Order: sequence, then structure tokens, then C-alpha cells
Amino acid sequence: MKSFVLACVAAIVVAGIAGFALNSVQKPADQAYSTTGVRL
Amino acid sequence: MARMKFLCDADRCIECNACVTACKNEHEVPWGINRRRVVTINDGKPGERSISMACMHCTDAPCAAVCPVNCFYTTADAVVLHSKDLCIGCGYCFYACPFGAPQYPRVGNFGSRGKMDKCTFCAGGPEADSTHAEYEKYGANRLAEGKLPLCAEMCSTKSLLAGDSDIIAQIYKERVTKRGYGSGAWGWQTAYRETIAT
Amino acid sequence: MARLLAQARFVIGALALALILAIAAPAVAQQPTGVNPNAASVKEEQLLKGLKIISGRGTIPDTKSYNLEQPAGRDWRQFHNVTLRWTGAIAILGMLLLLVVFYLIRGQVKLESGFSGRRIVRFNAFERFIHWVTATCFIILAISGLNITFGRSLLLPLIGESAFAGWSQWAKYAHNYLSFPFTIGVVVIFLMWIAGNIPNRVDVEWLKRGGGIVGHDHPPAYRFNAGQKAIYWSQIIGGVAIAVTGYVLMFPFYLTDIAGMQTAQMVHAIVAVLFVALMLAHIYIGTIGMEGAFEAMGEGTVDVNWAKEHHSLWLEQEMARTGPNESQRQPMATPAE
Repeated sequence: MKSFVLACVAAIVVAGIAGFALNSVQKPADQAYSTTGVRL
Repeated sequence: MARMKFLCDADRCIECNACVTACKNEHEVPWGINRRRVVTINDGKPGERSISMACMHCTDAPCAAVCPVNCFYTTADAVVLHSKDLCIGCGYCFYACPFGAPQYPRVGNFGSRGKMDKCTFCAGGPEADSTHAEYEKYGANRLAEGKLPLCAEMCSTKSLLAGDSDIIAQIYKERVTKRGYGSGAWGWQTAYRETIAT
Repeated sequence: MARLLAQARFVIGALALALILAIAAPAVAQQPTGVNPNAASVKEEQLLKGLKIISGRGTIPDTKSYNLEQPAGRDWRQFHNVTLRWTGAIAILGMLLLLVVFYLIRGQVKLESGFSGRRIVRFNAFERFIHWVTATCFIILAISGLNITFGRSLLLPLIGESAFAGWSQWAKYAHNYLSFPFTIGVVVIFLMWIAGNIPNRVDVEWLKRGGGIVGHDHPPAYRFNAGQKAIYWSQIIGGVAIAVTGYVLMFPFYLTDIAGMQTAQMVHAIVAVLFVALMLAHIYIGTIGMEGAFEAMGEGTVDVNWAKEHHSLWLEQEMARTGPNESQRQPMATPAE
């Protein structure tokens, strides 16, 4: 039982870290598809 | 009832991008989202051809068929629209669309790509016609005011036609007869399963 | 003098008349010459016949926009809406049916010699932890994944569009982010248990005797029998395929173009539904299918009689290693071949 609960917690923690990391990297389209000439 | 379609006369398009500019301005489309675009085949070579492309509002729209949350609907004028409230940004409509019409506000598919945006044939969305709420999400609703899409209205050579299928097909046929050549209605076979004989 | 003037007037008059006539002649419009200035240009059917995708150049930084038409989208739609749905339905419902029928006919595989009361450690805490990380993630990934394919037809009519879209949004978050602990779990399981899952002659014999699933046979097996090895290798291969294609889908167009994305989705979906069907069998046999089996992963030990009946060779090894004592903490060991 303990290993199961720990497993759930670990899964959520890893998923949370992944989510946080990816969302901070995810660019909105206006930044991703602009060049230096663009004034946003 | 009208059956709305787009027809880009590839023999007249001069790649001026007036259609793109008109659309962007009318709907205040953010940078990075391209509802309409001009593609040039064989750029710079003899036989160069440009075509303006956006959502074709297909018969039996593949985007609507694959959407996991069924956020698309077809109006009585056969315009294919969708609800940004229901959209989960999964990106499937882009994989199915033969014309690359769906656009997403975020790059990468972590959680969501944001709410899909595309050409609405200047017909807005599920919100009440010509309200601020509708404009915020989907842009102007010209059809509700009895007008046709602005891209076609602004086309400098009248290569891009938008309106009832029978009428624009007739215009195109007359054009082809008069000038003696025509490369056909690009995209019609894929979108509407019909062609205009030229 | 008068005569000269009269002649001049006549000439001027004639010229003026000629000029007026010339101007008044109907303007001849540029008639179509029948020459097609675009004769050298490509036509749509030409391009569609030759290439899978019509592409050109554009002026927008988003290079995907340079594709004009990709008719392959139609084929992908057919796959997603028809082929995948049928495959998934047949695989999953078929497996469920099979398991129900099997249970009704064969019933639970009972421990024939009864519980001895003596226990032996089968899986240690770390092994159980990793298994449960992978298994729990799998359940949620499976449900959220099946929702993408089947939710619209099965669940949406029941709860309505708004609720369904909200649920699907969260399901998608869960699916995308739980993929990370799942992938880590698959990799660790691969490394952790590979030694015990190399096929050998004992497996051939075990398979020939049908694993004892019918009748009262108890073919010998080491720590993992042939059935478990099959699950292990399917899970590794399937898990890797799903993870790789899943990450391609999560990073759209970073690694491949639209044809690649469509292929990734097709592989991901087909492997996934087959994987779900297989795991249903695994879950069945590990829970209700076999008496005394669940505890192995639930709390780590099994009854010695259970070990004798189902993994006799493993039991011998464990006894030899630890002496006649039970419940010894066993290392994550390689079965000595």
C-alpha cells in the first residue's frame, strides 16, 4: 500500500515538474514566428 | 440557400498579399497566426504561379470529422466554423486539413497549443452576431451584415472570388471562355469533390 | 488667291472629315489571341499526381504555411475515424470478452495445495514502487488517450459538449505530463528486470504445456515465466514505440513534417490500443485471475506453496540462496543460470 501511495505521489511530482518546465519553454506563436524586424 | 466557397484564379494572382493584409486588419489577427496566406509555386522560374489559400470550407470537412471534442459546425451557408470555448488545442484538425488552415497561438503541444484559429469566411463564430464578444474571439462578422469576405473584396486583380458556389463558378467559366485559358479551380476537387471544366 | 484658299479649305475639310472618321471608328478591343501566357505553368492535377504534397514558397516565417495542399490529410482522417476505431474496439472489447469467457469457464486459478502460511519475498519495495508508478500512469494515460479516440462518440452524448470539452482539456494535460513518469518507469523496469526476462529452454517447455492454464499442470518456471516474459518484452517494445511517437506528437514539427506527424499519430494510436488490450489480460491474471498473485506486487511477499506451484525453480534458487529461512530480503538478483 505504501509503495502504491508513494508511486502516485512520485508520478504527480514528476508530471508537475515536467509541466512547469515545458510551459516555461513554450513560446507563443508571435514570438516563435517573428524575426528581429518585428515590433511586438 | 447559398453554398459559400472560395475560388482563387491562379492565372490572375500576382502575389500582392492584399487578401492577407485585409484579413489581418479586419479581424485584428495576432502576429504568428496566418488565416490567409499566398503560396508561390516555382518562385522566380518561368511558369511561376501564386495562389491565395485559407480555409476552403469543405464539404464533409475533415477537420470537423477528426475533432475529439466536436467543436466544429457548419452553418446554413455551408461555412465551416468552430467554437473556441470547446477547443482543447490538440492539433488534430491541422493533420486532417488538406489546406493547412488551422492556426495555433502556441508552439509545442504541452497540455495545449491554445485555441485553434482559422478563416471564418468573415462569418464570426457561435457567439451572437456582431457583438464585441464575437469580435474578440473570431473577428468581424461581415456575412451577418450581408457582405462578402474582405479578402476577396480587396483582391487587386479579382483573382480571389468568394461567394455562392454557382455564381463564382459562372464568373470563372466566363472568364476562362473569354480569355481562352484557365488552370482550373485550385483546391475544389479536394475540398468540394467537384471541378469546373475549363 | 481665292482659288487657292478654296483648295486649302477643301483639303483641310477632307482631312478633318478623315480625322473624325478615324476617331469615330469603333475601338477594337484586344481580342483574345488564344495564346496562353501560363502554358508553361504547372496545373493542379499535375502536381497532385506526381507529389504527395503541393508546396511552394511564402513570405511568412512559419514554413508550414508554404504547403499549399496535402491530400494525405484525407487518408489520415479515414485512418483515425474508421480504421483506428474499429481496431481499438475489436482489440479491447474482444479481449474483455475473452477474459469474461475464460473466467466463466476456467474460473480463478486456485492454489491447489492451499496456503501454507509461510511467506517468501517476491518483489522488494523499489520494484513495487516502480511498477506502481508505471501502472498508475498507464491507467490514466489509457483512459485519457481512449477519450481522444472514443470520447466523442461514447461520452459526449452522455455529459454534453461543454462538460466533455472541459474534461477532455484536463485529460489532455494529464496525458501529456504523466507521459514523463511513465517513460521513466518503462526505462527503469527495462533495466531492473531484463536479467530475469531473457528467454530460455524452460520457457519453451512452459509454453508447450500451456503454462498450466488448462487442467492441473504446474510447469516449472524461474522468477518470470514465459507469459510474464512476453508481457515484459511487449511492454518494453510497445512502451518505447509509444513514448517516441508520443514525444514527436508533443513537439509538433520539431523533428518532422506533416507526413511524419500523421505517421507518428497512427503508430502511437495503434500501439496504444493493442497495449491496452494486452494490459487488460495482465491486470486480470494479476488480480482476480489467480489466487495469491496480487500480494506479490501489492505487499511484496507470496505464499511458499504459491511459489512452489507456479515458480518452482525460482523458489529453489531462493531457498538455496538464503537457506531454509523465509521472508529474507532478497537483492534485485539475477537468477543464477
